[in-house]
Amino acid sequence: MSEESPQVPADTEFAFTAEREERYQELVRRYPTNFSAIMPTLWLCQEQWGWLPAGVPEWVAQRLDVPVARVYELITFYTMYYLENPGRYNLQVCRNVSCHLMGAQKIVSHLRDKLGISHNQTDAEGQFRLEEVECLGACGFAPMMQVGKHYYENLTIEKVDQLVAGWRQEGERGE
Amino acid sequence: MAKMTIDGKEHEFEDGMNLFEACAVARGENLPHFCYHPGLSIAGVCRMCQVEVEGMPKLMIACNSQVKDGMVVHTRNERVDGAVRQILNFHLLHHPVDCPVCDQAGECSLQDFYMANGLYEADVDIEDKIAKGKVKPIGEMVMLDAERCVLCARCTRFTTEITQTHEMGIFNRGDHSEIDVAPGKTLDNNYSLNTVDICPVGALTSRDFRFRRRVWWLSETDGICHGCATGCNMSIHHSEGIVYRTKPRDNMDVNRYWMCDHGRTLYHEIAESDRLTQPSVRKARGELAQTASWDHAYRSIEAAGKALGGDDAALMIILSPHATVEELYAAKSVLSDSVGGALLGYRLRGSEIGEGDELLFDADRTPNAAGAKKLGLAEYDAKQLEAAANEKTMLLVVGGDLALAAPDAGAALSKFGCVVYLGWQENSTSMLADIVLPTSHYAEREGTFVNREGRAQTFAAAIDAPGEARDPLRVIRELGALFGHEPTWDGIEAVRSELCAREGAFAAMAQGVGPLGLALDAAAESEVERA
Ligand code: SF4
Ligand code: SF4
Ligand code: FES
Repeated sequence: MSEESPQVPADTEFAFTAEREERYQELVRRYPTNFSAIMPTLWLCQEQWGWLPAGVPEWVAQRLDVPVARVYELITFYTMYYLENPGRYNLQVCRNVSCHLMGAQKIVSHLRDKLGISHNQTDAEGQFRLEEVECLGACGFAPMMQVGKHYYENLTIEKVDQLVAGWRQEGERGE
Repeated sequence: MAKMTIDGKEHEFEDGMNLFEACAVARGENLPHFCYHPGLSIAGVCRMCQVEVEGMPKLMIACNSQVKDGMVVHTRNERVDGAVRQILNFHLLHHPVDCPVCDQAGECSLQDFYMANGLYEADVDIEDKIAKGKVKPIGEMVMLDAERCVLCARCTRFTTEITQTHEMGIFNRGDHSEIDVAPGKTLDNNYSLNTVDICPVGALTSRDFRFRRRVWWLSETDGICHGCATGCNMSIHHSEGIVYRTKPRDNMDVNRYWMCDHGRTLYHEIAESDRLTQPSVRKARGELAQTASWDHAYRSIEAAGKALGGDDAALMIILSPHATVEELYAAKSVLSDSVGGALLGYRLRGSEIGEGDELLFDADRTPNAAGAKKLGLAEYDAKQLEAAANEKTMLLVVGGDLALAAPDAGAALSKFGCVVYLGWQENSTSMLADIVLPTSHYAEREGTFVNREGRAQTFAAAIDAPGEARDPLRVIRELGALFGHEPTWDGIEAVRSELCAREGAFAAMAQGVGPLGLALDAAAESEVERA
C-alpha cells in the first residue's frame, strides 16, 4: 500500500474547508436524522482527502453524534468509500455487459500489465490504482472508465496509453 | 380479538399480536427462526419463519406480521417446508460445520433446525467456503467465530437497543458480511454475556464457559442472583456437584431476558479456595485459628460464654442483607426473641452501596435488604456498634463482610469479648472472628430474597455444600439449642410457615411464591381488598 497522501493532515485534527463546512451544515439540516447524513458526509471527506484516512470515520461519528460502528458498516458495505489510499489516479474500468462486449477485459489486462497492479491494488508509488467497477451508465460510449470525476469513453489501447503517459508526466511535475 | 385458523385449527388471539407468537402458541413450539427475539426489535433478516397466509401471493415472515381476523395460516406444508429448507441451505452454505469443537453444539438453533427442517445434502464443498475470522476475543468475556455466524443481527440489536453501547456491527456485504466489533472497540460492557445467550449459533461463545463442559451434561436449577438488590432470576447450570455457568431466567417483572456479567460470573466464588469448609476456633486473640469439629466449635462457644460471665454474659447479633428471609427470621426469633440476644441490626448504614446503572445493576450490592426491612430489622451506624462493643459481650455475625464493607466499623469487632462468624467465605470479618462456623453458599441451599421492588423470590439448592459447611438455618437452630432455646421448627418449610403466620408482611407467601416470585406489597393489597 502507498504512503499517506500529501493531502492528509499530519495530526488527527480534521476540519473541512470553509466551503465544505458550509455544505456539511446544510446536509445536517436536510435530514430528519443524522444517520441519513453519514453517507454524504463521508463523501465530503473523500472529496477533501481523496479517501478516508485513519481517524476520519471516528471524526465523522463524533460530528454527527452517531455510533462509529454504524459509520464503518456503511463504509465497508459500499465499494466506493476508501479506507486505504486509492492512489492519485484511481482507474475505475467498467466491466459490465456493454463494456465487456466492447472489449473492457482487454483494457483491464493491458492496464494490469502496464502498471503491474490488479483489481483493487495500488502501485508502490501511490500513483495508480486499478479497480473493475459495475455499470457507470455510459454504455453508449463503451468501453469506458472513470478517473476522479471524469469519464474517459470509447477506450482503445492507444488512448489508454496516452492517458497514462499524461498522468505520469503530471505526477512527475508534481501537479 | 382476531379469530383465525392456524394449521387447520381455530384460534383466537388479541388484536395486533405478533404472528410469530401466535404460531408458537398454536403449534406448541416456535417456528424455525434465528433473528426473532422477544426482547429485541424485529429484524426480519433470517427468513426462517416463513408461513403461508391464504390470499397472499408469497410466503410471509411471521415475525414481521400481525394476526388478523379471518387469517388462515399454514406453518407446515410442502411449500413452507421447502422454503425453510432452502433458506437453511443458504445459512449453512458457508458455515464451517465445526460442531465437534463448538461449544454451542447441543443448544444450537442451526443444528436443531437442520434436524427438524433440513436434512439435505450440502451444496458447497468445505474447501470452497468463504473463510472468516475465528477465535477472536472481542471483549473480556466474549469470543467471536465469524464463520459460524448466521447474521441474525441479534447481538448488534442488543448492543444498539438494550445496552446502547453500540460496539458491534455487521461489516462488508453479501457473503462477505461479517459480525465484529467496530475498529478500536471492545465488547466490554457489563452485559456482554447476554450476546452469547441470544446468539442462536456458536458465533459468540462465553470465554468463561468455553470448553469447560458439554451442555448436554448440565442440569439446571432455579437460582436468584445475589449480586445486587435487583435479584435477577437465573438458572444455575451444574453437573456432578460443580457449577459451570449461570444464565438469566426470563422474568418480565424483574430482569426480562438479561442479567449482568458481574452477577453471572459470581458463581466462581463457590469453588474458590477461600471457601470456609470446616469450623475453626482461635484459642486466644493473636493466635492462629485451628480447624475444629462442629462439636468442638459449639463447645468453644459455650466455654467462651462462661468465661465472659456465665449467665451475665451478653449476646449481641449482627445480621446482614446477604442472609435469606428465612435465616433472618430464624436468627431474629430464636437468637434474639427467645435466647435474648440484642439485635444490633441488619446493615451498617450506607455500606455496600456502589454505582448502579439504568438497566439492571443496582447500587445496593446486597440481595435482601428489602427482606430485612420487611422483617422490621433496622440499620445501625458505626457509633451504635462502637457503643455496644465491650469485653463482656459475645458478638454473633450472621453473614456478610462488615470488616470489608466498612473497615473503620470493622475495627470495633475486636473489642467484643468473643466474635462468632457464620458465613461461607473467608473474608476480613471471618479473619477477625474467634470462632468461625462455615455455611453453605446460595447455590447450595434454599431460601428467599426480597428484591428492591419488594418481590419475594425463592431459589433452590443446586449442589451440595463442600466439606462440613452446614445450612445456616441448621446452624441457627443448633445455636438456639446451645443457648437453651431449641426452636420448634426444623427445616426451611417449617420456618417459612412460621414466618408467614407471624410476620404480616410475608403472609401472602403462605400460598407459595411461584417460579417468578411474588410481589409482596401488591399481594398484601389484594389480600386486604378481598377481606
Ligand atoms: S454473532 Fe450470533 S447473534 Fe450476532 S449476528 Fe451472528 S449469529 Fe446472530
Ligand atoms: S443486575 Fe444485580 S441481580 Fe442482576 S445479575 Fe447483576 S448483580 Fe445479579
Ligand atoms: S425470525 Fe422471522 S425473519 Fe428471522
